[in-house]
Amino acid sequence: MSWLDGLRHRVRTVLRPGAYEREMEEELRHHEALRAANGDGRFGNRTYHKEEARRMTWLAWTDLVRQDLGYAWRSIRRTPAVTTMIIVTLALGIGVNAATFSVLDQIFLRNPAGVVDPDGIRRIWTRHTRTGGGPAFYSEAMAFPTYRQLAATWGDPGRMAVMTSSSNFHLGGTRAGYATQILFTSANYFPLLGVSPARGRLFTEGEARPGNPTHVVVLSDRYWKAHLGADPAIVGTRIKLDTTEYEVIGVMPPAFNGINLQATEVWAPLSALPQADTPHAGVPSIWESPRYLTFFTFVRTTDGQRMADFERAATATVREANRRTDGPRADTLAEVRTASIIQARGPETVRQDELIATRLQGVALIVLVIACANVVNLLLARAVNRKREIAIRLALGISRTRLIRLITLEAVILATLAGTAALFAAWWGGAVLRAQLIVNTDFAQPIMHGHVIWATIAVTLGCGTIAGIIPALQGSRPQLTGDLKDGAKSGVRHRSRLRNGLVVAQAAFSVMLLVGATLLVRTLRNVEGIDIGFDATRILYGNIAFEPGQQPPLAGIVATSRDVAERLRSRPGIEVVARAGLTPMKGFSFWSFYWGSDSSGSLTKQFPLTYAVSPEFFEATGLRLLRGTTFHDGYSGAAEVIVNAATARLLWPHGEAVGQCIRFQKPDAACMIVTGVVADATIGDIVQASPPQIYLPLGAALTKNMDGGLLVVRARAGGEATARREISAVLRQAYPTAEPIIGSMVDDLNPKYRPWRLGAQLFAGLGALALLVALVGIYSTIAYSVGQRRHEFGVRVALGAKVGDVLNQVVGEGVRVVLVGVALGVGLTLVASRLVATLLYGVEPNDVSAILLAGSALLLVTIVAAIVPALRAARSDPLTALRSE
Amino acid sequence: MSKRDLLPGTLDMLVLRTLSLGTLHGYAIAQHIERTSGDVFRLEQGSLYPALERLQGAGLVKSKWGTSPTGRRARYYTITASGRKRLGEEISQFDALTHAIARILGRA
Repeated sequence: MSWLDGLRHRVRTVLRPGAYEREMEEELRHHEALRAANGDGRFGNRTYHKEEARRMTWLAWTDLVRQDLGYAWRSIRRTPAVTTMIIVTLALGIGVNAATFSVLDQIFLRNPAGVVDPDGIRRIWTRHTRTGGGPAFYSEAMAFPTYRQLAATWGDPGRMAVMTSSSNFHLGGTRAGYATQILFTSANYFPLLGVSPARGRLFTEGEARPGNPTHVVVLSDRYWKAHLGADPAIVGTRIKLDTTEYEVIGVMPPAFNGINLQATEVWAPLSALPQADTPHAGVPSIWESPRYLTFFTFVRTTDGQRMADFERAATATVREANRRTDGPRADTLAEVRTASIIQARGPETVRQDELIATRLQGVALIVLVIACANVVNLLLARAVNRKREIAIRLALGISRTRLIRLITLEAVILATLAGTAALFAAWWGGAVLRAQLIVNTDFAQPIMHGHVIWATIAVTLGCGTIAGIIPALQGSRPQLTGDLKDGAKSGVRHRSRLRNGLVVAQAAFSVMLLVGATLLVRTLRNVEGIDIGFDATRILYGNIAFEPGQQPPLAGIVATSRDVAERLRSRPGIEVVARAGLTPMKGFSFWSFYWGSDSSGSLTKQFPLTYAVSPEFFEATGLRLLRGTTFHDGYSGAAEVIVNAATARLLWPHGEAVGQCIRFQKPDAACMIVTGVVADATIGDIVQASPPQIYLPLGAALTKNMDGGLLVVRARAGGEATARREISAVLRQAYPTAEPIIGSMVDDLNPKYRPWRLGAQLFAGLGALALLVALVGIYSTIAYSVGQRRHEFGVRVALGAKVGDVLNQVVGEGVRVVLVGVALGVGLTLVASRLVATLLYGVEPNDVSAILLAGSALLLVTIVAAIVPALRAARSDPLTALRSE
Repeated sequence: MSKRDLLPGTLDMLVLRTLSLGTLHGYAIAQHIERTSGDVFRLEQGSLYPALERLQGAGLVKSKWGTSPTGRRARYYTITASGRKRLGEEISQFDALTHAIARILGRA
């Protein structure tokens, strides 16, 4: 392979240029010595000979590149301020994009790691239509019987996997142990995904079959290393998770962490699902009940026709099953769809954090465009300043291509520096975004990924090339004589059109971002202003976490908690103490009930949420009483009930709720009188209408067995820390072996406001960034144009122009250009604003005042940016200007 | 005669032809060409070494450091298999060319 020898020779020359040089020197010396020995003394110029030979090697080419790089680097270093500005602008622009993209990539683009041929996996979704109105929605969750019907419809039950998860399994069986979630799956889960264990085995079909609880687990590599010390002999040993011992049968390889965004740490066979087989008397088990919508399913196929057939057949199956269980109120519009293994690519995007992430990427791209425009502007200014240098180079015979290459290379070097900074920014920013935007998720995959790195590199080079080539093309157009004489001073009217175009673009995009920011900030204000029905400040609640399996009997808890509440009442820092069965505004239960004089009213589909509370509950939470009274006596077993406004509207749309009668569970049960109507307390999403809610007294016969072990406390103003300590102390005294858990309503509510706050902060931050970048762009354009026209201003001043005249002229020119941009931006905003409509609350996407605000902010910035160069122009000394003529 | 006076590619052919006789160092190649041409060609280092570099890069010639009869370290060049093939092609092309020129000049 001679050509290979040739290639090896060429590569060696490039890799070891020093050796090449030395050998050539030695060879030529030898040649000369032999010539001299043969009486031929005319050697010629050895350096010339060496150069000629070198021209034949690849070194000739690398020399050229090195020269270009050296030149570009020197000229970059000559203007450190501009260079820094360019790098920072680009790094911010690219970094924001890379960080946002890293999150988007994770949610929407990245297949779960370790899965063989992930495109062949299809998740199964069902579209539910609420019979009581309300929007239809897709969900992956289904009941176990539904899964069985779908598997039968699929025709090949072995190729449809089913899984469900359950949380809070403490390692070692104590509350101090690490709590994890277990994914309970069918045995075909692993083979369908194409994964096999790194150690041990997976569970068999027999082990996974419901009804035959088999307590074995397969661990993720991460869990095994972090919590079991990577014990090499782990397979075959038993670990305790909460109250049950499981035998470890396998460990998965590091790459596989399940197929969800959240990492799966422990897998167990479906059969081991706790409490699945021990239903309460008369209640069907999880395997039989159509009510436990907790199972997720997927199939593996690449056959599109088969999928379509399945979706049709499965839709019919589900509708038929609904008809059987729910009768006339059944969801007969239900539909089954299959979708990607990537959960966020389901039939619809509903989660607000995901929505924000996509919109944020759009905003980040706009910031990048603005940043790039700014860099072009700065490079243009520099290229024009270097006109004389470039003219000399052209005169000395440099080719135009080489010149363009030099200038472009400069921009690419700048972009590379910026890109490197951006990658770090993305790494950091991605982690921050991930933590802020998608909370409480232990991600299965790391932030940085090939996608993100390649996208960043591509954007960096793209930006660098575009930002470099425009000034290069502009600057290398030879007009030798004029440029040699004048350098950068002479009027360059034709060139300012491009620069003005860039300013127009920057202004337009800035207006868009500012409108977006204004809308989101206003949305946040609206959301924070929503009446949640109660006063969340200073509400604390105290609970007891027992060691797994050590919970005392219910009656004991009820008695103790009454004592505890009594004792706490007189402690410092405490204003009101109440008791409840479940965490206020969070935990709830459902009761079926009947109303009307003849008990004819009943709801079969949508039940109001019911809470068992003590009479002080309303005072403690500040839940406003709208009509009537609170419980007259919550402990004596009086048959009283309090409803919220939504319940009153639902049950008695035309009459007064107070004084009405509700019978729980049976149409002939004892009548509970409605004594009062309270405000609607926000329970789920802040912006969603509160559902109907009913409050029952803890002491009523109906709720005798509800523990009421949760203390709901309103602390005195400024006494929150004291109250926390007191609650903790009192609970510890009552239950010495258990652990008190103190929560606060504000902490509970914060996550609900978080997406809104985050949206407003991110949009406002990026809007401010865009405005800042636009400010720099406008300033540099005007300052540059003023610098170029010093002569003109000198003449004007000499002819008697006043400071005001010159200011008017310069500022006016800037404002005119920006106004064009603002107009364009308003147009773009009107078109694009509906894309953020889903992120808004209580404000229209095309809000006029937001547009006016953004436009005037930009004009103000323009005036600020123009005033400094305008003053410089006004102070032009006629003599200096004319002397340089 | 300088390199500019040679027909293009001729120098490479002459070097390959010389090396087809055996392994030689640079000076020996130059000397052989000069002598055999009856001192019509003078081969300067500025032409010879670029040609050798070019031929090596194309894989037509290989080189190796060795010791000359005078005891000095010298780089010895050897023709490769593809070098021989190329030499054959170049010679036949050259023959065709000289034949055509000769016919134009009325010598054939």
